Amino acid sequence: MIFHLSIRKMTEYLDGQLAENQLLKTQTHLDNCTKCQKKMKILKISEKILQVPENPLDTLRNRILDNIIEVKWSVSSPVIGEIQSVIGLASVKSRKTREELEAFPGMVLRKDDILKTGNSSKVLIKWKDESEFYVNEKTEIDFSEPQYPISLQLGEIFAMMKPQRELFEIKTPSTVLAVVGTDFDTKVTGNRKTILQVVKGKVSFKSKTGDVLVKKINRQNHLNTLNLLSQKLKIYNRFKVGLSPSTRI
Amino acid sequence: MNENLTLSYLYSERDKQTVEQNITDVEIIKSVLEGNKDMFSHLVDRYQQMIFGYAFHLCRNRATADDLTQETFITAYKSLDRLKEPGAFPGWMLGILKNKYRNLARDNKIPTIPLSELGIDLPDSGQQETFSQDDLDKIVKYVYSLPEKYKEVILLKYVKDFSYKEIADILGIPVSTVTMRLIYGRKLLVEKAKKDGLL
Repeated sequence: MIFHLSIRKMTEYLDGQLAENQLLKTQTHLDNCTKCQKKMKILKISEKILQVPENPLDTLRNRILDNIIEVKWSVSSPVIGEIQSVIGLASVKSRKTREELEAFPGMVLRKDDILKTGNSSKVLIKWKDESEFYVNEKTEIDFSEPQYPISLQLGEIFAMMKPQRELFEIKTPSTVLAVVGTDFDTKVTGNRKTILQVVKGKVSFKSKTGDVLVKKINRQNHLNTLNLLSQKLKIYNRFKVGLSPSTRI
Repeated sequence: MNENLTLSYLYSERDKQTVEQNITDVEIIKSVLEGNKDMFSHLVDRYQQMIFGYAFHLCRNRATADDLTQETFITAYKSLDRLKEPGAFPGWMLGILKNKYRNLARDNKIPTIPLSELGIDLPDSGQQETFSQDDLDKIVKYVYSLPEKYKEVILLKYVKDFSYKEIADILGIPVSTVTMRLIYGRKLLVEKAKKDGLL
């Protein structure tokens, strides 16, 4: 039976991970085995493909540094969460510094920020307690209001909340949603109407006309709504792992 | 993530002085945030080749890679107060770059220049007997069609000959994951070559 080098061994050989005696043994095998030589050649050609062409780095350096201008930092505002994924164009504006930045994964959000998503864009936010907010297109969220962690001005968020030790309230133009630890979808329409759909748990819905406790949707009466929410959840979960949702939500 | 990470292997000649002073990314970022704007140049010196190399292999276009590199550094500078862990600066910048590339590729068709025209020293069929030019073109396709997580580690291995530990620090993943991705990515390349009869 003829033994050949495993890809693991070839990887260790290529990356200089082998001890001297193993290196010698591998080299001897390579000298005598045409099949392994061919495989190794493919891997070495791949290395060459991934070379970086010569680039005048000094010119690029100067171009970068010429465009570095004074900016105001907002380090003093508390961190509330972090952007996990972005599809399309979204922006974050600090109320304190007035600086507007493009949103990107790994960007920290602060208490004085306003997040806006554009057409066909979506953002996934991880809150500091690991709760997740999937922000749909054409949405505006204000994080700067002192008494509310989130103020949804327009658009839609799908929240998957961790159990809250303290009252977590989301403000919309017409209501306040008090959340304990639940999954729900809330939408503010162009005419400032708030639509709430609860998938799991309970959300208290406070408006000028009084308080209502909204429970998860009754399966028999609202099958279509449930299907829609379950579809949304699937799309958001695809988004979470970095896939681009093909369906418009 | 090691906050005192000093990536001395990335330093250019010009940055030798910084190496001697042993200034870490964390210290540089702190200084920039305190108002020493010029300190940002050390981060440019440390990481521009990595960002350019990564950008180049995303778009295979030198001019676009140049622009993406420039825009990535400018966004990184303007958003420096939005970096959670200063020790994770290089991986954070790669996130900015990839986001910029996705937006660019979504809205525009980036002209891809063949590798042969970019001054990359790829052996042609005349220089080596094992593979024909057609085979070499196929290998180029295999490399570029690798899933991003595998291509990324192989790319970082070759862009600056980073060690496994260095790649793990940049991407914020364990060394064992880097090792497995390097092996599995290469396994995929070989399997594709086998399927097409190159082996």
